[in-house]
Amino acid sequence: MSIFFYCLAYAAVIAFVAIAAMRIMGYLKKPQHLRWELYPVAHESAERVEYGGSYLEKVDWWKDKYHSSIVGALKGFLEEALFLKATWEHNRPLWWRTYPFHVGLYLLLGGMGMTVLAAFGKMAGFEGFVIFCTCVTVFCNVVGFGGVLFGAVGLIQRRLCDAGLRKYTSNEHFFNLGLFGVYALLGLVLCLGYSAWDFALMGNAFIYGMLTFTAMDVAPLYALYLLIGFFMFFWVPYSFLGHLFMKYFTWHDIRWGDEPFISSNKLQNQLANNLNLPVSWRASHIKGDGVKTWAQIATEKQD
Amino acid sequence: MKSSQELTFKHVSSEDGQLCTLDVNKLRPMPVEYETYEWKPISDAQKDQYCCLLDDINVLLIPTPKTIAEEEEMVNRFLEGVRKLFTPENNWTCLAMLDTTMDYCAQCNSCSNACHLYEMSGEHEMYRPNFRSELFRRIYKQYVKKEPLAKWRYGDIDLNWKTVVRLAEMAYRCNLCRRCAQVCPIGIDNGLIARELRKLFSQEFGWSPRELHEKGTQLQLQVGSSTGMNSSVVQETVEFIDEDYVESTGYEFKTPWDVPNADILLIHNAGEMLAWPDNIAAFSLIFEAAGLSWTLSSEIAGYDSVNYGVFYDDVQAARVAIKHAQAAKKLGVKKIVIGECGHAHKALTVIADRILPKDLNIPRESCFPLLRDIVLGGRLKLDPSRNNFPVTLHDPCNLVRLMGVVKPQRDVLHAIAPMFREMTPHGVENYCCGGGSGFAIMTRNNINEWRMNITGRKKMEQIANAFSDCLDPSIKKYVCAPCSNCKGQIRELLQENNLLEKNGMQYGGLVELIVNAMTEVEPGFIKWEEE
Repeated sequence: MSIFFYCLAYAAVIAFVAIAAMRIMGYLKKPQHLRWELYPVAHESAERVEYGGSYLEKVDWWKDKYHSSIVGALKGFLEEALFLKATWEHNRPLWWRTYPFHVGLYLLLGGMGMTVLAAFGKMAGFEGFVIFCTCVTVFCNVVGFGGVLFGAVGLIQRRLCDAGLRKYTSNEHFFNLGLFGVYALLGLVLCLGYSAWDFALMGNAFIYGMLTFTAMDVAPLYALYLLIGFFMFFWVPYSFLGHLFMKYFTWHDIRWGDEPFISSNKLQNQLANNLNLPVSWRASHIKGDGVKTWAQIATEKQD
Repeated sequence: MKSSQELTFKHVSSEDGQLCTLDVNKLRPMPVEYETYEWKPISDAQKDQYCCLLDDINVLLIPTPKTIAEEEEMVNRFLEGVRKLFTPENNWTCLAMLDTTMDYCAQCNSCSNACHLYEMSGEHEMYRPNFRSELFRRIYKQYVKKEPLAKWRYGDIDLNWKTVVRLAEMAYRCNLCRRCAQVCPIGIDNGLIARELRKLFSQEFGWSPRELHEKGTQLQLQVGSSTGMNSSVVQETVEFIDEDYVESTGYEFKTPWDVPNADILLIHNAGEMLAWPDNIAAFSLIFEAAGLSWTLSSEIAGYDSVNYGVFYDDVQAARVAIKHAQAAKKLGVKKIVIGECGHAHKALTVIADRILPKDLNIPRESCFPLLRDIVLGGRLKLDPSRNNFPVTLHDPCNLVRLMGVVKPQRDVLHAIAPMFREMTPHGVENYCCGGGSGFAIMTRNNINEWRMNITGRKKMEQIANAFSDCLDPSIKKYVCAPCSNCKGQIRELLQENNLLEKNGMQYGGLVELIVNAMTEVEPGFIKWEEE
């Protein structure tokens, strides 16, 4: 039975990595899209970010080297990721619920990371480091479960009670929130039942077992908790919750994607490829036949 | 008909006849005296001929299918179009954006409150930016992508011909200002979905508003301008403008045409030549006074910066952009400068940047940085006291939110308009004028009433609030709207409500204000209507 659980754990990790990679690769393999940026663009100069300006505000802008500030982009992204700034500014009632939910998830992810570190520490015989990691894990678990549970219940309540939101709430929303809520509730019950410290040690031991291929026995309630966790490893990248990692592309590549054609040979090559793609749109002003290319259709004489 | 509260996704497929209406008498009152525009009834003949199934407005005029076979063909063709939207060959332009917008929306509705249509329609359900998007998502996931358990996960949608025609009309209940996308925490773009739907219906069915297609891009590609002016007519028109304004300003200038190897090819929105010749004259006068090397082009589309393709059709957008670039290449100019037209700015500077091949990718820039450098560089003799009246600035969405050209026009205004004041909000957080995405040139089938009642209502409220301390008609005030389409919309808002007479409100571009302050020009370049 415990070997079965370990197999599921490996499968869950592999599924997460594989599905996330597929989705990211699926995005990256798409043809270079048109510029579709929205201002402010975070990697502009600090002065321009302040009011939403761009390099296009300068006469002969193409004579300057294209500049993209990594610090600016990081600042913009961290503000959004750590504080959910857009929700705070534009949907405050939701923020009070979704922020604890997201912070809870970050903490649980952090706790998981510390558990992995603790397992490595144990393998290396660094007892002090293992204790330190376990202490951090205890904090992350308790606050994380609390945040996720509070947020999930709050978001379900909001989706049920707000008439506008209710129409847009599908079964999948309730399923997702319910799943996270049950997971967090089980985590809290286990923390109470075994003590938060022992619960963290169980996590350490399980991950240690995974890394050293030595199975340990799993208590029934802990097994249920793990099962839900494994399912989430598969479900998060598969469903719309994949915005966890796809948000990087929607912000960096689309919303802030202001790189001009003139500054990039790579862009120029990609565009040349795009113009040679065949078109099959049927309207009479296009008459795409699946053979004629964009370049041919865009330059043919109009009747 | 369904009320806003009753309206759900299922009704889009199930309801017969007109789906909903909006009680114009319950709209939010305005800070100035403002008309209520009752919807004109749709005639029985029109209902027989066209699918009038959404609300009181009909933008597309889709012929009613007469047989079940025609209804089925409509649905099948729609599904074929949706499939094409998701292929790299047919939609390389936007596939990456569309895919992420379809897959990762959390349905938090943060976008709703950002939308001026939703707000000013009294929060009508159909105007939520996410209503048409989510309907489209559910159709796509159930019928095209065929996701496992799609019906259970997202809700079952019955796809029939009524769903298709309503979705097509819904694509035209949006100004494409993308304010909704700007506030999205995830980076989802419901404005993009409205435009993708417009593309699908134009590129697959040939359904598009005639003002944008037949009288827009097609006319421009065939004749040279969406105004219908050919090369010789446009040159004669500008010649007349030159003569008139040399006489009225006392300043000698002549607009140059087809000057080989000039530094600048200036491309105006040709609509200005007919509706606002003072704008054309002001540009010529400023460029001549500043001693620039510049020219206009008489090539096809080289004298009209309009590119309505960006509102509804990628192929048409590409065709027009190529014509603009070819005109510049033929003259051998160093760069293209785009006149006061917001969508032309975005089309030629930003969108065309990844359409034009290398040999046609001639540098292109906005007129506003150039005007800023001319004014602040002391190249004109200016007396700001000539503009000693309240001035506010309308930000065209294409220029600010979608291009980041925010400060140059403000630098000019701070230098030449002592009583300049901002609207709230402004800059990249501005609101659309209400004519965005082509509506400024449409008046038929209750579109004018819609623009006055709903789409332009927020802008009118902003203008009135910006001048709240000086609404007295004896104080002349100026709404600076440096965009042809926006000016058209603001003209309707002010003129239909007689607000020049009632509140002393006039409108115009930025260059008119600059010339009005030029000491070498006779005073009074800006005309207050009753003068």
